[in-house]
Amino acid sequence: MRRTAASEGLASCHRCHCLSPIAQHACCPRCGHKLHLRKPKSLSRTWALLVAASILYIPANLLPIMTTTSLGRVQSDTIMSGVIYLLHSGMWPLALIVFVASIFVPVLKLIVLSYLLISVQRKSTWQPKERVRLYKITEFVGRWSMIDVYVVAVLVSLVQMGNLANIEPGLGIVAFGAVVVLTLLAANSFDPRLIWDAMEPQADENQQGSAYNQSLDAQQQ
Amino acid sequence: MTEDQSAHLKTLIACEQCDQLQHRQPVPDHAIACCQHCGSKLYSHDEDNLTTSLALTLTALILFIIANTFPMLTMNLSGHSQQANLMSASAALYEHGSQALAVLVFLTSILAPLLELIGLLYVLTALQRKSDRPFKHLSKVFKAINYLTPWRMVEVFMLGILVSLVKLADLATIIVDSGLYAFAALILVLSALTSSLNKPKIWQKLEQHR
Repeated sequence: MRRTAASEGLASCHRCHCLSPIAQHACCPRCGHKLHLRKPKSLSRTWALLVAASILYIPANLLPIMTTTSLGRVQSDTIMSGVIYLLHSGMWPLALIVFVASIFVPVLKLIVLSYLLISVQRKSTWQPKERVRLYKITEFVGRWSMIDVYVVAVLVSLVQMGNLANIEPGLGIVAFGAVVVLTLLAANSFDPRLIWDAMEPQADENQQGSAYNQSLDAQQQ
Repeated sequence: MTEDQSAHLKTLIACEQCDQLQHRQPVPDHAIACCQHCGSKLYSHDEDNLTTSLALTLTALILFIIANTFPMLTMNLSGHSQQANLMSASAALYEHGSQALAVLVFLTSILAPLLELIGLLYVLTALQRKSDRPFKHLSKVFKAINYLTPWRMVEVFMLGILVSLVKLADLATIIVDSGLYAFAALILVLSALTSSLNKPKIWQKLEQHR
């Protein structure tokens, strides 16, 4: 069996990554953060956040993110129509960035995290290294989805010219902001070490291992 | 925990991705240590560059204040003009009925970077001066900084400003103001700060001085 910190009864602090025996310390002796072998209730927390994000993803894409009133003409924009506008004005690199950040990345995060959760729950042993890399990528790109929220914030604060031109934020952008925050939290609550835990030999083969695996399972549920 | 035991634990490190337990070994300049089991990064060369980090923190703080006091963009449309900066962006959302969103924008573009920089300045100065004050609360401050870092999204905001510039280009004349230049410089300094900041080293120092 592989020698992991958890199998030695050592917990690596989630904040400062210092090792301490979990039997003696409830909290990290260095930074005072609560110690766990794995992030507590990682699977159910991540699922809950992911389901909430997927539900909000629908209004985020269907409702207008902002409404522009210019000389009596009213125009509502959704996330997709914003991308199409950028494309038509010839700024295809920016259109690509906004498309990737606002449409591609949120969907990618929802799909990848669901896949990782299912693979951990089914104790998959397929390509653990690649799955951890997939997780690192989703964790890294998630923040860039906030672009559209900031675009609306800047436009709303600049374009306040009474009857000439006016931009109001729509409900869609509120839902979209919530999707981004929820997926960030979901990525944060997932524990990549669970991917590797599934690679360990089955619990009943080894008495010590069984106690260890049970304590891990108890923490995840 | 006995002295021996805790000294032994300090020579060990667990991989953040796969929990593999392994011995710490010194790495040469510009090299990184990787996990022997899954290959992800464990730690890099243990440089003592607290002074560099301190200088960058101070620079970033000054740039942040400039970026927030001067307007970033000015829009001219048929004789009317309107200015915007970080604060007015969240304030406008708040006034126009998206309070939750305003709080999110305020937190990620103003509060998180500001608190992080002030906290970092405090921790780094205290370590630099090697003062005799108890370091217990310093590690609390440093822990809080670690919570804030993922919520600091100024570089995403910058891209948001670029996109809005394009969207407004055929509607009105936009003037880029001094605040935006300071903000652009802030992003460069912040990324330099992120790469220079040696968090494990700071944790070690905080522990020694307690």
